Parts: sequence; C-alpha cells; structure tokens
Amino acid sequence: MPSLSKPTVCADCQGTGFLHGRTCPACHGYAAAVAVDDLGLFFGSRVDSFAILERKTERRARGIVDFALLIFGLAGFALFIWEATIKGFDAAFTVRFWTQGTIRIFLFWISAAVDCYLAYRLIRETERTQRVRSRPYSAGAEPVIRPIVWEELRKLPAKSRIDISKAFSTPAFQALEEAYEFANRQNHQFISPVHLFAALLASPHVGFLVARLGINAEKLKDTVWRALERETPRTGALTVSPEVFAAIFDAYLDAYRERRADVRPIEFFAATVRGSETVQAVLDTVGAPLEKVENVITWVRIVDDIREKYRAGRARARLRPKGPVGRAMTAVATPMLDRYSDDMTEIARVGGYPPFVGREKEMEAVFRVIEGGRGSIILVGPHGVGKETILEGLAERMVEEDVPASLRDKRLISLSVPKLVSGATPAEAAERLQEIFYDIARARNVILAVPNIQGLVGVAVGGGRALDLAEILASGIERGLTVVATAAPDDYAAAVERSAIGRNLERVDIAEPEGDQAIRIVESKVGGIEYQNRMAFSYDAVEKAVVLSDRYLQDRYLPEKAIEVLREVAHAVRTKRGEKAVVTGEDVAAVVSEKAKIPVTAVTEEESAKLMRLEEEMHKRIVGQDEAVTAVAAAIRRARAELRAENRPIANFLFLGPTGVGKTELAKTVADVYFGSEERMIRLDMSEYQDQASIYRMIGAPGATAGGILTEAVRNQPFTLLLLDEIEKAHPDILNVFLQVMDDGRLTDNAGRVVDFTNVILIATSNAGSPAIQEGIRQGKTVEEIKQQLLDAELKPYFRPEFLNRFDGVIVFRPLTSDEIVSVARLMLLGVAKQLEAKSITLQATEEAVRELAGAGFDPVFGARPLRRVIQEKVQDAIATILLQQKVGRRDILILEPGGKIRIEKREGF
Amino acid sequence: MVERTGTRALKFVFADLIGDFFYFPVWWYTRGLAKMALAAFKRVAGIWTSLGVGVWTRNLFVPMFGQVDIPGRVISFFVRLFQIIFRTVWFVLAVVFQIVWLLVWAAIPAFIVLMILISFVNLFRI
Repeated sequence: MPSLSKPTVCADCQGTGFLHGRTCPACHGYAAAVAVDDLGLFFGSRVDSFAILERKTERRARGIVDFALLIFGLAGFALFIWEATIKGFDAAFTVRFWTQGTIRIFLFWISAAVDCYLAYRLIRETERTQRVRSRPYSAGAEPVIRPIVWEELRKLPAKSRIDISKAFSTPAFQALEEAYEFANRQNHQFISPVHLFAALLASPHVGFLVARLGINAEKLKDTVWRALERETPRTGALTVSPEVFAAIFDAYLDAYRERRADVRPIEFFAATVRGSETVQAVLDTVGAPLEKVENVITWVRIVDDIREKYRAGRARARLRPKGPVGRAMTAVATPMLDRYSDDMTEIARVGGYPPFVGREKEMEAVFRVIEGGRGSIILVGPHGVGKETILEGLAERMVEEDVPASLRDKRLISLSVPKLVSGATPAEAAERLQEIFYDIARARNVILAVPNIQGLVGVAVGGGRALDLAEILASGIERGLTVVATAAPDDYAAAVERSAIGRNLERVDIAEPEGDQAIRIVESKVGGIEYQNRMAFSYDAVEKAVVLSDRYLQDRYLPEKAIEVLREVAHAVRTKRGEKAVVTGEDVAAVVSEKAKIPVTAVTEEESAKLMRLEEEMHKRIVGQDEAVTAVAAAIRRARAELRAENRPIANFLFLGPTGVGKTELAKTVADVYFGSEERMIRLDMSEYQDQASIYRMIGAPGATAGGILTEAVRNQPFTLLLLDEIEKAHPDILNVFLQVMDDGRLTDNAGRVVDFTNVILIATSNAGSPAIQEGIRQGKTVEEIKQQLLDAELKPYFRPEFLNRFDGVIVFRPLTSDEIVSVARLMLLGVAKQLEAKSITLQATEEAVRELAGAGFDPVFGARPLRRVIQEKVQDAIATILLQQKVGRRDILILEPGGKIRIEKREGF
Repeated sequence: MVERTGTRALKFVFADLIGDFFYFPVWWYTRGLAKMALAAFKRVAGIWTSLGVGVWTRNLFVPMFGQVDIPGRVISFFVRLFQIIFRTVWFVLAVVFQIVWLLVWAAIPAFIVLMILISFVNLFRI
C-alpha cells in the first residue's frame, strides 16, 4: 500500500522550514503539509542536530528543575516539623504559630508556593502533547485527503491548523530523533524509512511485534545494514526524505481515522512499513511479508484494544448495581430460578468472562431480533464456533449497559438443563420449570439463556399424549418470557425445528469463522494460555493453528479446535523448552502432525534427502515398473512441498496391467512412505460393487444416520490411501460417484455429512486390457504406445473418457521380465531371511537356487503371483522342518541350494 | 545557522524559563481552574449515575420487589421517598464537596502569598 497522505514538502527549504537561517519565505516554516477533511496538517517540530540537542537538554533540565523543586518542597515540610518540635505540636493549631516571624515558618510558606509551582509544571507537561484531533462521527467513512498550498494553510483559522508533531507520543517522537542521529552517524544524505525502521525497532511496543513475527534479531540487523549500504552518501545538510515525511503524516492519519489519542510507535511503524518498499523488502527477506506484518499489527492493536476496552468496561460496570433486583429495586428475588441456573450478568460484572472479539455481526443480529419484537432467539451453530461466547458477550454488553433499551437493567440467567432434570421425574422437572417461570414472571428483569436447549425436548411428562418440557418453555415464551437458546445444527434439525419451541424461537445462524476472522478471534483468546504457561505465541503459531486445524482436524470447528491445538502446543513446548519460550509455527505443525498422523511440519533435511531419492526407496520393494514409481514419487513430492491443488485428492492414479506385476504392492509402498504405515489404506474390492444398489453400501442408505463403508472409513481416517481394486468391475453409477471425489475432493453421504477426500491418495487398479498389454510387449511396442492404444480402444468398453480424464496419471504396468522375476524372488527371500533374523539364524541363497525358484514361480498369466506359493513350499516349509527338528541353532547359517536343498553351516568357535 | 542557534537559545532562556514562571499564576486561574472544574464536573456526573436518583424518582409509584398489594405499594412509596431524599442529600453533599475543592484550588495561591507576606513582615518585627 503506497503512502495515503502524500504530503507536500517545501521544495525551497527541503522540509526544514528554514532557508539561510530564516523562516523559509516559501512555506512560512510549515515545511510539510497536507489537508484532511477540513483540517490543515503540518509537522511543526524541527528535526535537526540543534533541535534534538535542545529538546534533549530541555528534557534533562526539566527533570533537574523538577527534582530540585520537589526537594525544596519536602524541605519545607521538614522545617514545619522542626518548628513544631520546638514549639510543641499543640501550638500548630494556633494562628500565631503559622504567622510568627521565624525563618523556618517563612521558608515553609515559600516551599508551599514552590509546591504549587511544581504541580503547575507537572500538569502543564501533560498538556504539552496534544490529542490527535478526534474525528467527528458525522464525517464520512474515509477521511478526504488533498494537497494544500502554503497560502491556504496560513489562512486557515488557528483551530484548523494542526501541528501533528504534538500528537506524537514521546517514544514515537524519540524514534524520529534517533533515526536522525543514526543517519547522521552513518553520514547519509537523507533520513530514510530504513533509518526510521531501525530506530523504531528499539521501542518495546514494536519489539513485541517483532517477537510475534518470530524474526531472528541477528538476521534482521544484518539485512538492515545491507539495506543501508544503498543510502546516498552525504553531500549537503542532512534532510528528512519525502518517504519519511509521508510516514509521519500517514501515522497521524491512521491514528486520526482510528480515533486514537496519540500517535504511538506502532502506528508510526505501520506507516513506515506500508510506505516503503525497501523496508518491506527487508522484512520479506527475514520471512515477514507485508500481509503477515499487517496481521501482527492488527494483533498488537487487538491486545491494546482489549486492555483499553476492559478498563473502560470495568469502569462502566462499577456503576451497575449489584444483586438481582435492579437499580430501582422494582425486581424480585428469584430463589427457585437461582437454584437451577447461573447468573451470567453477575459473572460478567466481576469480570469472569474473557474479552469478546470478532462476532460483532452476530451480536447485531441478536439485537435486531430482540428489538424487532420477536423477543426469543436460538443461536444455531456447530460445537466450538462460539455460541456460548456470544451469550457471554451479551452478558458483558448488558453489564456495560451497551445494549438496546429493552435489555437494559436486566439480568441474563443461564438455565442449566442438567440441573433441572437431574434427580427428578419428568413431572417434577416440569413443576420446577413452572416455578422458575413464576419467579421470572414476578421478577420481570430476567432474560433466560438456555444453552443446548435440545436437552429439554423429549423429556415427556404424563401419559398418553406426552407434554414435554420444551412445550412448557414454549408456553412461557408465548406469555412474554425472553429466551436466548443455543443448539447445534443437527440437534436443531432433529429436536427443535419442528417442535412447539422451535416455532417460538427466531433462528440466528452462527457460522464457523474463516481465515482472518478466526485468526483475530484466536489472537484475542490466546492471552490466557500464554499467561498460564508463561510463554508467547508467534504469529506463525496462531496462523498455523487456524490453517492446519481447519485443514486436518475434521468434525470439529474453529475457533475452538485452533485454541485447543494451541493449548496443547503450549503445554508441550513448556515441558520441552521451559518457561518464556516462544511457540513457533513448526511447534504447532508438529502437534497437528501427531494428532492427524500426517506429515505437515516443514520438510527436514533428512526427509528432503529421503524425498529426493524416493524412487530408490520405493524400488527396494518394487521391481521394475520405473514409469509407475516415478509418477507416484513425483506426486508425493508435490504434496509434501505443498504445491498440490488443495481442493482435490493429493493424487488420483489408475494402475493398469496384468495381475501379479506389483500394482497393489506399489499402493502399499505409497501408504507406507507417505502416511507412515501400510495400515493407512482403505481397500475396496470393486468386484463387490457390481450392482446399482451397492452404491448404498458405499455411501449409506437413504434416511440412515450412519454413513456407508467408504464414507465412514474416510471420515474416521481422512489421511489415507484409497485403493480401489479391479475398478472395471464396479457398476457405472459407482464410477460416477468417484468422478466427483476426484474432481472436488468431497462426497456427501446419505446422512447429509460432507466427507473430505482432499487428504486421500486415490489409486484405482484394473487389469482391463491386460491381453493387449501382453500382446503389445510381445510385438516390442513401447509402454507409451501401449498406453495410447489402451486409452484409445481397449478401455472404451469399461470406462467413459471423462472418468479416465480425471486421473492425474494412467500408468501401465509391464509384465515382468524373467530378470525382474529373479529380483522379485530375491526380495521375497529377503523377507524370509528377515523372519529368521529374529532367531539369529542367517539365510543365504546361491544364485542358481534363486533362478530356479524364479523359473518355477513365473507364470505368463499370473505374473509373479505364483512365486509366493513356490517360495512357501520350497523354502519356508523346508526351513520349518529343520527348525522343528532342532537341527539348527542360534548363529548358524542356512544356505539354499538348487534342487530345494538347504545346507546348514554350523557356527564357528564356541 | 549561528544566528538561528543564538536566537533560539535566547528564546529558550527568556520565553521558556522566565516566561513559564510568570505564566504560572495566570494559568492557575484560567486554564488550570477550567481543567479542575471539568474534572469536578465529571466526578459529579459519575456520582449522579451511580446513585440513580433519576431512576428512583421515575419508579416512585412502582412497588418494590414486585409487591403489588396495597400495603406493599404504600410501604414501597415511602421507602422510595426516603431513598430519594437520602440519595439526593448524598448527591448534594458530593456536589458541595467538589465546589469546596474548586474554591480551595482558587484560594491556595492567594492564601500562600498572604502567609508569605505576613511571616515575612513578622520576621522583622522582633
């Protein structure tokens, strides 16, 4: 964002206000100015060596004088004590004592005068700074900014001519002075935004911001120095650069628009960053791009505002009467109600609720309904989005009396449904409720909050056509009771919507907050966690908590889940690094990774090395099939570098090829490599889904509350490999379901829940067209040619073109060559050897033996599949016999030889 | 630069140091007094709100604690009347206190100067 104000800087005096030792005739000493609304702003304090020295000397002199005056004032009091000890303290009550002509009393009176002078000096000192002109609320949304000419400024009435330098807080102004001295020491021509930025970093307020940004201080310093190398060396007098003037005016405008009392370092910092591309580049280099800086500036301000609001709110709350009966004592005590409820306004009055942020719109909606006459409301939203917080916020606002007239001087009482129904028969509960209503009706100052109102529905009273508690509440509302209830959407739909109570409640939807709104809410809540654990969250931590929990923690809602994650992270970091640690984004990622069992932390060096040689890793399990392995490895690398599309599955693959060539094995390998375990795989044999009705098994039967096999599996385990075996056998309607999954990464089950497929790797296998593959290989065609042939002709009867198009890769698996079969045999023997390792027995095989096994196990139709059986029969069975006969002991070596013979080599030595 | 420094140094000594001292009594009875008056007014306003005399007066005929029967209304009326009188007295006292405080503010410098003169004169009487 470029400078807002674009102040005019006097070209004659270059913004110093002086020319040849006199007030500049061109600008009349105003130096730099701009017009805002109907005001003329100028910067009236000089920034040069002498002025800085003068101000410094004055500050010091002022301090010394004040101190001397204070000492003299105290000495006067001591003189009085002295005089009183001489004349006796009784004498001090006589007029004579005070008028007598002793030097002590005379000096006492002088010191009293000095005390008054000191008071005058101290009060005047506070007047020295001027508040930022408060902008009338009648003015438009945005201030009107335009350039101003010097003559116009001079002719403005004194009231409209504002010296903005007076509104700068002392630390903000000192930062400007330090920037001057810094530039002076470096022998630069201009005070540039970089000098100002460096000076502002020293302010504690800005330091806090930098800490939140998680910037490495050393690196920042380094980058600032390198940026300063580009400054113009000095040739004349040091002057303030136009960018810095712009920052000064922008900072004032910012404070003016936000109606703040003064310009603090944070406003100055924000303006400096916004106006200067160099400063932005410096921050970007150390990992803080502009939008991140903006969000942290907002955060710092939220914290300030909370503190400010809290103080103001406390001050207002003090004026509110205590107790249940209201200011005018028109209300009545409510013993029955009190027994089954909590007084939310009372809790708010003693400051029991956290600050309320980011839900202003919903609060306005609540007020609109209440003022609109339909007094009762139900807040509908998923668990964790902050329904109760809105009730608490309402209590807060009621205590501060910042509510519509109909809510003033009222109590917000939260009815506890569990307390009401516990230990009572439905009839007794109903009686309790009636008594409560009687209390409320007499008190006439109660707004009833009913969290989770669905607990009242279905508690039936009496036989026959049951009357339930909700109906009693409904009749209460009809008689004028005001209720603010809450319910989750499914509870609302199931229990409330069509019941008597539902008709009496106006629905206000509370949506899950998104993006920046969620971040703002979380920022306002983390203060408590920080305080409890004595640590600080960086902005990255908060952002990651919101973004990652949104993406990876399903079935729970923001902001609660982000706050829960942060609470856990804070605890983990505290145990690991002790108090006063700063929680980084990586800490949050680690916890989310652990919870969701999915890698989301930044790629470590070790892991990146592993990713780079992923093909090699995978080839440890897969023989040949280079094209398939490369395509899959590339997809995994894309996902891990976060370059994949986020509204689709991680990757969709179709593996084509005859049986026994490694399709399923590759899928298992992917599950192991990316998700950490072969178990993280959902395997569906599509041959079981051949008729149209089987779709209900997959996504749930219509009207059922439980989902289907597929949707439930993915809901429970969203980070998983979805393997669809023999997909060509599935009914075409089922393929249509997967069309949507592959395209949007979501599927709605028949219970109405949206299941997220964006963290799934989808692999479909098929041996459709296998004869063509084998034929093609025999004719010496390349894999690419075979694939083209399959897509053009062989797959047509099985899949529609748009289905095939959805795959990121259609991968053809070649039949294995005899050499590859040998490798597979070797791999399988390695598996057997591993089992024997546990018994400290070594298995070796001669080359001839392996070839023999490969020859016996290879089948042109079934690929390598018979090999497993051959190894079972010829190797494992034989070894089992040897083991059972106890012919072999620990540390012996078994050697497999051709003809299925196994030679035992006894251990050497002991 | 030299001229400028010189004039500004002179200005600093005369206007800021000496001028400041002579402005002291002027300020005390003008801006200072206004400042104190404003603060006093704000305190009075706060007390008015917290005592709620207006609310009590408006509800003079409304029974307290929801006792709508005749005795309740009668008792309530008198209790409210008493409350209103009591709260008004309390409020008047608060106002008086603030006015006294303003008078003290105004009297202090004059009083001190007077005492300085008297004790100075008495110093030489003996």
